[in-house]
Amino acid sequence: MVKKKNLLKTGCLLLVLAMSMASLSGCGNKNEDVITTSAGKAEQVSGSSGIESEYLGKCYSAEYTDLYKGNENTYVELYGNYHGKILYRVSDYSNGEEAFYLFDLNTKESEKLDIKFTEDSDKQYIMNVSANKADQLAVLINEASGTSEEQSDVNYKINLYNADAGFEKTIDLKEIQNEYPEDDRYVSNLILLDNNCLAFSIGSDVIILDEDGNEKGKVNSSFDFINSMSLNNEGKILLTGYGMKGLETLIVNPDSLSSEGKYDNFPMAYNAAPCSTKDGMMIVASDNQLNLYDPASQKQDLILNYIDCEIIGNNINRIFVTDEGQIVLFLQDWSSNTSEMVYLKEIDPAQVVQKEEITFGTLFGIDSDVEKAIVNFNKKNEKYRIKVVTYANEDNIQSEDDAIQALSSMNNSLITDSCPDIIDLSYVNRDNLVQKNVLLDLNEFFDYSSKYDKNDYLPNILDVYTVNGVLTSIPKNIHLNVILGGKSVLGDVNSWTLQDFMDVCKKYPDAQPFSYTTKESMLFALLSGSSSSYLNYAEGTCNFDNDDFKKVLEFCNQFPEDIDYSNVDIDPDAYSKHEILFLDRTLWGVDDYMMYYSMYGESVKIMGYPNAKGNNGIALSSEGSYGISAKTKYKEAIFEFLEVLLEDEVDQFTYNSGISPRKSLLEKQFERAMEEEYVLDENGEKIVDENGEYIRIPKMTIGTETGMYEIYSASKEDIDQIRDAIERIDYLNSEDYDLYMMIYEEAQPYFKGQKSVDETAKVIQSRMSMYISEHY
Amino acid sequence: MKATDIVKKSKTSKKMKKEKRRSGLFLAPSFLGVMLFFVIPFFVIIYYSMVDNPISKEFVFLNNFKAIIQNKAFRTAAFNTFRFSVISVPLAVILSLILAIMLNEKVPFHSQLRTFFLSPLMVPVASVVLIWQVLFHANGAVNDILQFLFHTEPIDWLKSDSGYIVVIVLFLWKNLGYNMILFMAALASIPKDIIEVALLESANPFQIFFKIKIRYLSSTILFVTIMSLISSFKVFREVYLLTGDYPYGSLYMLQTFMNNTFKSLDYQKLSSAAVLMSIIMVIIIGSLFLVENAFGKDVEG
Repeated sequence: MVKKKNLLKTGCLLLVLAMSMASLSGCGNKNEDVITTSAGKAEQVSGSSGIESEYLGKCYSAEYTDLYKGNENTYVELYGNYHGKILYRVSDYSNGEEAFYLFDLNTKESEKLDIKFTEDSDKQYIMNVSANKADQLAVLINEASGTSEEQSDVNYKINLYNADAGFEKTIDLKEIQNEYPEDDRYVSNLILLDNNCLAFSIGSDVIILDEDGNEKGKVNSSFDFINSMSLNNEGKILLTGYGMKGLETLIVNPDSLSSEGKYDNFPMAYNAAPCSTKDGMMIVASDNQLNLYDPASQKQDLILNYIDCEIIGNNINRIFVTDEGQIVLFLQDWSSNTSEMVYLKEIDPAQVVQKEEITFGTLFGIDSDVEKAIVNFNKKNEKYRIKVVTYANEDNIQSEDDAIQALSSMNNSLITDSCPDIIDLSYVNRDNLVQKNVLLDLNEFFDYSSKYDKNDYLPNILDVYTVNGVLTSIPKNIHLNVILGGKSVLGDVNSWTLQDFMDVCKKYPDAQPFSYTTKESMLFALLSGSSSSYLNYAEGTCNFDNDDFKKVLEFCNQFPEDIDYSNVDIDPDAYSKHEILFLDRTLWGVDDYMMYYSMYGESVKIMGYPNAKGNNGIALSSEGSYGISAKTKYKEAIFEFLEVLLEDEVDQFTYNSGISPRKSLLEKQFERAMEEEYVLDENGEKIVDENGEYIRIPKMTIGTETGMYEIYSASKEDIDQIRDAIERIDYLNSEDYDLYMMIYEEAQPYFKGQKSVDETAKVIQSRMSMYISEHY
Repeated sequence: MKATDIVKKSKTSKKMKKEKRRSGLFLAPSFLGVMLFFVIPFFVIIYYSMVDNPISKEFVFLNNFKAIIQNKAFRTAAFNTFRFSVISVPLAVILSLILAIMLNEKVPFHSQLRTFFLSPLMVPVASVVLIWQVLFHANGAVNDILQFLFHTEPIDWLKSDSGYIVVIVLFLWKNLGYNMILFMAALASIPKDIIEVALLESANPFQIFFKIKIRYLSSTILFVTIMSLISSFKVFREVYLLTGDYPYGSLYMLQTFMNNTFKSLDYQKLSSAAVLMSIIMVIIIGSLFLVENAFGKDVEG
């Protein structure tokens, strides 16, 4: 009896122990059926979301094909399956010629088609081409009528061709176009259905034409903009577009002319239209990965990560599946005007070359430059590959709190053994990381690299990135955060105090300091460069309870609380007429400066943000700022990657691509910006005007919120102005949003008349003193 | 010793050993949990408080403690927490004791009053904070009443030097009921015959209270004081919900400091502040035990 009791007790005890162990084991990460990757190939354990498809659970290799070896003036566009081959078009901007080709995936050869879809390539432009299963073709043509001044008078036509590419008829869309407001007549997304009906989008509507080209009906999507149209396996049209909740989907039945709901849990497809497969699935290219979506179960699964397969995801322009079921991606790199076709080849996982992984940690993901550099590095390097770790991706970010949580998770990993080898420093506090010895001093990179010389870099820019003697990152290009104003208003001054700034504003009582100035925007603008006047990080003290700051609050208080932007139109000449005095801007380069020149109609002064002492330098920001973990085992491999990442040629500098921190490239940028452009005759000779002078032409025309501005070449004075501003760069614009928000929050009662300026300054001083002494 | 006794003793000792092993196994899950989530992390904290940073992990002994004692934010936080505890804990103990004695007597509506004082325990902190914000805002009800009665200027209570008074009131409102119940239970357990004897010997109510009841209540007073002290250190939750990360100086508590240093990855400041705080807590609680031992040692039971 006693024995039995003991047995029962022991059994209970074991049960309790087993339950405790089981509950503890529940704390672990269950997400194990994700992907193992290696050497640029992706492998996936299938069925993680319950979808069964031939595309899942395979290991893919990306096979690249150059469809056409062109030059910088050549543009390639790919349309999809046609007669069992791939149809694409090559246009040459330099001579206006264009030709269509068919590419055979088996022989890897292209054959030129003897067809011409436009009569006058100067006035007609092919917008889209769609082929149906019977190999009939529909070509959407945009035809400009009248002179160049009347470019807005654009007419769309659809030309139809039979399976032998023989012309059948033209459908003029003018009548349909005219039913829409003038600024909403853009026709796009053509589909030739198998029953010879046509579908295209205009505004937020999908229009269906019958086989005779007559309007059968329309379906309103309620999207602001229809992003893409594609056919699903049932012959219904899947729309993606921007609605109230961001990118949304809508299924349209072209027969019943009705909408049939949407796909839930659909991956975000920003660039290319989704594509259907034979087994009824949809292949969707989202930001970082190629997904498979099952319309029946409304579930998605991963086919591959782009970087694992050495594909630049940002460049994906079109996806389609060949008749043999092979996935083909068409990549278009707009920055270098090159295009590539990639087809995914199934390979044996055993063939995959194993490489050591270097981790690249980023909060929100990588930009296209980094993606390109990683893919190039992974393609060339036989020993290492870079893997991107994103702490805040689409799956776990729904709100601002989620983003804060992700940042906290990233920060925690930086100071532990799970620190990534390469760190995106955009959202983290680099001072803090240097203090904790997390970052490697990148001066070592200059000792390693034979391609990059430290002396070629502008010293003040490297100083900005240096914390306590540690060079935290090396920028590829930089931008200046500045206040711009006309020389007639600012004179010859290069720096100013807050009082100077307020005095200039008082001098023009009828003018607005900035466009759409509110109390909040003015307070932020004035705090941007002056926080160091009030906060002393070195001593852990602050000084908001003084007359200077009270004056700032009083000055900001004269502006409206809010602006109804829908009722405010800015006169294009507002800047030249001194109705608006300044621009609070990021200066991207010389072309950008010249646009402001054109805006002000005079030389523009580049000023730093005013502060109490008037010793204001210029703030710098760079698109990407990447550090290296001091604990990395792959220092030299990362230096190799850094060489790829920092690669920059002056030819690649386009409008808004930034200012080079390297002296040699910067001078080339300046030279290029100073090159004049003139009107040329048919022999390429400059034409002179009635005064015998060459006729200058603008390098480009830029449209802004206030109007269109022509950009001419820069003069030596303009370049000197920019050079001087670059030399005055002395701090990194790392906006402490929490700090601004705290000040703004406390300023609100004063702006609403509930508190005096003294009380407000006292509260701000109290809260800020806690903030600053905590960081001391 | 007889052989049978030896056999008996050895049997007993075997049984005891078995019993101990079994108890040990039953205790193991709790023991493991306490070790895993309290004891080991505490030693990790001590370790972190003595290294320069989590990456190079260089031993710096007391440097982090020296730095934190010199830090103005820490000193302000320590002062505010100390001021808050020194005012609120005795108030919480004394007021709840008075309420318990009052409700122990036959006062009218005593069961309704008991429910009234206990109800704050049932209200979620988030909603309490919301009400408090409305009451103590610059345009809130408290200012309206003060203005009506005393013609005072409105005060933005939570952003003024008097901010801590609001939190003390909130703390008392939230905790009095719980303390009161503990005291009521302790009062009910005082032997009635002793009180009757005291009454027969012409002791007045004050003598009965101070000479008898307080002695019998000493262990409960100690317990309530320790619980109130711990709660006073946890008042951060209310302060955070009322004022956020960086409150007005008078409301900046030790846990605010720790929370912010955690967010800014300053684990050295965080861990040394935590170690200092725990040392102070141990000293205070140890002293309270000594006082209770000295004061209540002659009480029966």
